[in-house]
Amino acid sequence: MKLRVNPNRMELLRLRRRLAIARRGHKLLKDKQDALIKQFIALVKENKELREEVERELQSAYLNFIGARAVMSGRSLEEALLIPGIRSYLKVGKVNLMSVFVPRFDFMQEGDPANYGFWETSGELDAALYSFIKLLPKLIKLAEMEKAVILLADEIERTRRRVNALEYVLIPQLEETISFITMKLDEVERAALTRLMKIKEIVRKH
Amino acid sequence: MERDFRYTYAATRIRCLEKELLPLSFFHRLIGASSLSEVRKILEETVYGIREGEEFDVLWERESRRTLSIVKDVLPNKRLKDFFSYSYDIFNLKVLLKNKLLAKRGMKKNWDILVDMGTVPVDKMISIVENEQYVYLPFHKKDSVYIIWDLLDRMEKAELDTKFVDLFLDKLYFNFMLNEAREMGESFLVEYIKLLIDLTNIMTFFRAKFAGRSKSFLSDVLISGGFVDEDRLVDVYQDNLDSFVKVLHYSPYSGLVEKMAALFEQGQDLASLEKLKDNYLIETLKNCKFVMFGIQPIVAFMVAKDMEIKNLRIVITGKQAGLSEGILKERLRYVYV
Amino acid sequence: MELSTAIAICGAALAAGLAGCGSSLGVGIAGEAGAGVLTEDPKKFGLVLLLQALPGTQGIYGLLAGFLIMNKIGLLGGQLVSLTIQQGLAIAFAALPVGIVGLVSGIAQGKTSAASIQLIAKRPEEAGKAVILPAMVETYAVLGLLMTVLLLNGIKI
Repeated sequence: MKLRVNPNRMELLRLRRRLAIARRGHKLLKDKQDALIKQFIALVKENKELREEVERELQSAYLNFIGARAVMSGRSLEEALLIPGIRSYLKVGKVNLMSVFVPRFDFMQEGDPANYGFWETSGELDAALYSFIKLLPKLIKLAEMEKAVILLADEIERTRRRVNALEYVLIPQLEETISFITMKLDEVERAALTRLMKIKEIVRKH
Repeated sequence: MERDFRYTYAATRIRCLEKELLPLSFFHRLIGASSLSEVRKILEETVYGIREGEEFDVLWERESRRTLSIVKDVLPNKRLKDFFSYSYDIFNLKVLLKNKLLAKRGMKKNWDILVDMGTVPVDKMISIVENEQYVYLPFHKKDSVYIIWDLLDRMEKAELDTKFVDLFLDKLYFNFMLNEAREMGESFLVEYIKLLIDLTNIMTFFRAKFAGRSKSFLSDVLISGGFVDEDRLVDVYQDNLDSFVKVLHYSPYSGLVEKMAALFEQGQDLASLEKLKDNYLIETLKNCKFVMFGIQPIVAFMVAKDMEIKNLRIVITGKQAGLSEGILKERLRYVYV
Repeated sequence: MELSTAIAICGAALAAGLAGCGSSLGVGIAGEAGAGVLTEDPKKFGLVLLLQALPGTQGIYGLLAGFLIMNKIGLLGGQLVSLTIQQGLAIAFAALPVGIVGLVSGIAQGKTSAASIQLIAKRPEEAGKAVILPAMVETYAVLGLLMTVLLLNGIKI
């Protein structure tokens, strides 16, 4: 589909410039898309590994916790966990990754997970809490990564749409319009030429 | 005339009740159950008698309440009856003191878990702690006041962690229990409390090692008064486990700690260590089966019942979480009968 | 009444008294244990009663020995036999086996009975064995009685 423009030379020049820009933009976007996908794949791979690791550890931590819940009475468990021993700090920032702003969590925890006495509490509870504590930074790292992956995927999607729009819509349109204008101009030129020749002939006959 | 004849009635009644204790085969049947409703059906045949639509959690408390009331019923005098209830007082005291600290941090108080099985009624306990009249606590009047004031004071100055509420009160409790047992002249109770102290200390040793705690921390938290001098445990804390085993070589716990140390070196699996400890306790108390006159069968029955509830909880919590039969069988503690 | 008769009476009193003490303590211990069982399982009353009664025999033996002595010195017939001091002392000594053995075996049998009651509390099917164990203690009470009877027979008045 061609654009609805006046087929004149001015327009032609303008369109040619636009085409050049569109071509350059297309190339740039294409490069960006490739880079994004590369980045994305790396991130997804890393993410998958981390997720598997977290899930594995989470399972063993839960197993410990189930054990602790089984060997301690409900009341003792609640008493033991009445005052939490750990303080956690989370700072949320943003970093620019391929012009995508992904979140960056700075996580810190201090204190003692096993904040209770030793009598009437089970060692399994210690084990569970310590593994949870070890797990939490990883869990937050995982959240950060998954969000980055989602944002990156969005960006890739958006870039691809742009690339496609350029490649399959704008550039063909421009090209078509340009060729239309060129043809039109040629046509006009030819018409002018023919007219000129015709006039010349009429003049010569007289 | 031997004074132990005071417990003839109690011991015989307990002996009758020992028949109710669930044998190992029962637990295996429970583990083999295909669904939770089958578990319920199996439990219905026992003294636990789960009712329609009842949560499993209700059972444990009901049964330990029943056990305590039976034990209190058979024991001949108030001092002995109280002896077995003090642990609930200490529990309430811990909850209330921790709540006090929570309130100071501006957090909501949680009194739901207070339990009314102690010697001091719950509302009186609340008023004791709220009004800071620690002198009305049943444990060595002057000492407990001093210890609690000292504790709160040092918490205030942030010298101590909040976990020291538990640790200090545990010490107070064991100290008091040991004293009570001695004053009553019950040599078996003295031995029993000492056994509990030692087992707690041994477990604490491993748990401190697991968490990488300091030597001074260990010397702060170990409970004194057991058969094994706690300083000797502190001395070998930083050495390897061999010297720990060596220190306890001539104690009754040599076999236990050897197994524990081996397991700990393999994979720091505290769950298995706990199991070893529980098994040791039951195994030691099994000797009470041969005692006809004395308080031994009563104490053994209480511990056996505790362990039985623990075993049931292990099986049922495990079943709910969908653990395999193998894991459940492995986690099961010894049974008394 | 002569001093010698008084000494003989003292023997009779010892026989019945000591053996009675033993029995009452024994029956008491067994009874406490029995009450423990019956609280939980009243159906076992018959067996428990049998086991509780076992330590009671020593008292009966003591009583029997006492009667024999009374008979010998004529306390029952109303016609006192005159005794020498030596004879009186001999009768008193003869009374000792049933008295002392009755006291000790009564308590011992009470304990065994209580233990047996605990046994039937746990394993009612072992009731037969549970009865035999305290019955073994009975042997020595019987031997004590036998000795007293033989000694009394041996004393010529």
